[in-house]
Amino acid sequence: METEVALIDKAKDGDRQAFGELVRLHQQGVIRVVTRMCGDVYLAEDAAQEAFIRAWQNLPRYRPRSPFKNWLYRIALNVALDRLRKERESVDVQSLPLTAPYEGPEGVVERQERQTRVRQAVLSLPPASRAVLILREYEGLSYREISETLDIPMGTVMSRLNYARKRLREGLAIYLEI
Amino acid sequence: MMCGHVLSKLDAYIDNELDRRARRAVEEHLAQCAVCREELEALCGLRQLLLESDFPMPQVQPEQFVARVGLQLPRRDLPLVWQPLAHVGWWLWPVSVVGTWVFIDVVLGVSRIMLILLDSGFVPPGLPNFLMGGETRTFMMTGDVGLIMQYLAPQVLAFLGVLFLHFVLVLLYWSWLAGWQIFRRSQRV
Repeated sequence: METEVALIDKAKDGDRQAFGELVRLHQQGVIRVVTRMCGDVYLAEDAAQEAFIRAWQNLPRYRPRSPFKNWLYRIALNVALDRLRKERESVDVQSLPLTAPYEGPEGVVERQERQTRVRQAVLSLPPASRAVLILREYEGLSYREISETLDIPMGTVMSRLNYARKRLREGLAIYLEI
Repeated sequence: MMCGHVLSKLDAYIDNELDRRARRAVEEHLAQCAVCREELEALCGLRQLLLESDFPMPQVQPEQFVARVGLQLPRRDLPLVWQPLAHVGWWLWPVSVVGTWVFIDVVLGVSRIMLILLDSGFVPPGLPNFLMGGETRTFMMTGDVGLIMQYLAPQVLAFLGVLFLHFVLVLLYWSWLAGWQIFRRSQRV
């Protein structure tokens, strides 16, 4: 099996099959990021495809200073932001299908309601703070990696993360009472 | 340690972004401060809540997804062979502008020093006589306006010429900077 670096080099030279392998390797991560950013599974799949197409077009300019995965995340977040900007007028956070399609006993209903509230709170964050929160909390990137991925200073990463958490704690106070 | 100091470090603490010393200081403080401990617990609670409430993910078949992306891949615009050349050419622009500027200023500086030396009567050995500039002093002493103008006109013209040259160089450099900014923006993916 070829290494990621070899696949990137081949794909840079126009090898579509090598790029297909890269898509296979990173599709889950990209889909996760755009889904959390958009909050809409249908929009997310399209956005993930667009992110890979944009990555293909920009691949010759990719420099391996940062991991390829983080570079893809950056593209994915930008695509998600573009989509959200386009859809802003039509998408309503309250109306998004944020509840997993699962029917179960009564206790589960309460849990589903809590999950929906949390997702709504995440989606109501400003996109810039939301992107930082997603990369940190769900993808586990370090502050430096987030800074490189989003091309923002480390101080901005910290302040956006702090702001996002503060807002979420205010909005979700009822679920955080100890 | 003041409570406020630890509160501002709690985000970095739970994200494992503190160095060992700062981490130990926070832990020592947490051991004795109930307010900060409560804050930490709330942050941990939020993290847990976020993980439990992750978004439902689309059910994507990996092979289908790869195939769909593959079908939509467009042709790349710029042939790869031109990219390194374009890159070198792009960097040659500011380098040649700055190089020209340094060259011109060095030449002007040296000639100015030479003129001052000549004006002060110092003649380096081997310097041709016509460069001595004796006429200058004669013109200045006569006080004849016509002669002064005759002397000043080339000086003013030379000064304006240098000024114009610098203006052009600055303009070229700024246009490169502007182009660079536009290029950087277009590179954002």
